[in-house]
Amino acid sequence: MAHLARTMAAAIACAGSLTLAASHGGELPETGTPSASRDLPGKRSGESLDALRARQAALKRQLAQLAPEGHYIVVDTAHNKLLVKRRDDTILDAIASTGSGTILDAPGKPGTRWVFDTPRGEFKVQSRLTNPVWVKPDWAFLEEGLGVPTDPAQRLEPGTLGDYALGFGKGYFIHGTLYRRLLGKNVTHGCIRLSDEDLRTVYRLSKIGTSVIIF
Amino acid sequence: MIRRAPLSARILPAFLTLSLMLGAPLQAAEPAPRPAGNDERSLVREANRVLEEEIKLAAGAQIYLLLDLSARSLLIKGRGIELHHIEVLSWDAAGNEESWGGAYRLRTRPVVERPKVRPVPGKEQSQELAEPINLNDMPAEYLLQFDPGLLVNVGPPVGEHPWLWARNRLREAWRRLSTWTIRSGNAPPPWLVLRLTLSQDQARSLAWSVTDGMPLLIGSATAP
Repeated sequence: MAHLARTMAAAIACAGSLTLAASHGGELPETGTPSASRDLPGKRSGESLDALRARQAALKRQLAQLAPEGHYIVVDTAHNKLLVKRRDDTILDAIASTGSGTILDAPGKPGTRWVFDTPRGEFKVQSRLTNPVWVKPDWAFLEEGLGVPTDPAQRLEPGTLGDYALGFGKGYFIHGTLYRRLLGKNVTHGCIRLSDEDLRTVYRLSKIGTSVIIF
Repeated sequence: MIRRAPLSARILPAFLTLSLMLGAPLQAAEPAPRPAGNDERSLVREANRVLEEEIKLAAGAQIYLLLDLSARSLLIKGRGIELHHIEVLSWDAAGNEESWGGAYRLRTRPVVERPKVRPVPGKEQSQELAEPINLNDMPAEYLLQFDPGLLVNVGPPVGEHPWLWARNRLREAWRRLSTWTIRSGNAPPPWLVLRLTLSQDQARSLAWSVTDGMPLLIGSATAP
């Protein structure tokens, strides 16, 4: 029982919580980012060139301060690459696998589907796990033509995610893979897969709160 | 005996002519390297404007685009960091360039056909590919509609892909015409239309990377 409890502590769903109705053609999403302002040119028309230049230097400093401190992770889903960077230096340049972009319709539930995309934007590392156990979500059974088990223990699958897993929210993880030949391709259900060696480096260089920027 | 040219040979010139006619209004717009005046103060002021707008965007978690027409570059950025650089081969524009300030937001990314996973008993999808989408599935010519009032027309160089180029021009003309008609005969919509010529690979890369609601800034953040 204690063993099961330890296993569950390190168990992860791996993007299993992802359930989307549609990814295209919907309403323009509401975002928290600022709206446009269109009155700036001419607003400070009386400023001297020196004042404008001083302001520019201040603005550049302000922009630079918004960049992540320390190490951060950049994922290019188009080219299936993962970089670990520190300021402008690239510490690691790794081949990854990211979301396949495919769709799985939930059988018997019209309108319910999974879209296997890797999310875009900036995220933070929220968990760092060693020897993670995959808790297979519903789609993992459904896409294999199997029924969804009622016993949670039947969802546990150790050994498929590699030695480490870094969670960056909503069930998405950076983890290892048994299928190295698929690295460099868009084949995942939204998680980001790496080779064992690269995963070890990413794990070592990251901490809780490390930025993960995905585009 | 009069030999008629093959159908495709007759259609192509007519198609291209029609495309050129429909796209003609933009040709009148002489591309200006900067949207404002060229004196140094104007350039620094313009750079400051772009920086101010970018700081607002970089404070959030969303990835955004920064289009610098004078440098012919389109940057994909996040947190102020350059993530990917796309070279703009050429561009032209029509509309009120004075209104380029501020952030635009993309309505929807280009549509891509998403393959469906067909459940197969005993087959692990993680082992066998279920026809994933990749970069080559993305379109190389498309329209991106931003709010407020910006239509970005992405297409390949005419010399490399004449059919794609012609289709692109027709699509743009149709979009502008249909929008104008919907406005029931009033003045044409105050749209700024921006045509970007990108290589096929870069156009696909952009189509892949944009997301619904993605912000776009136009202007140069660098000053002499």
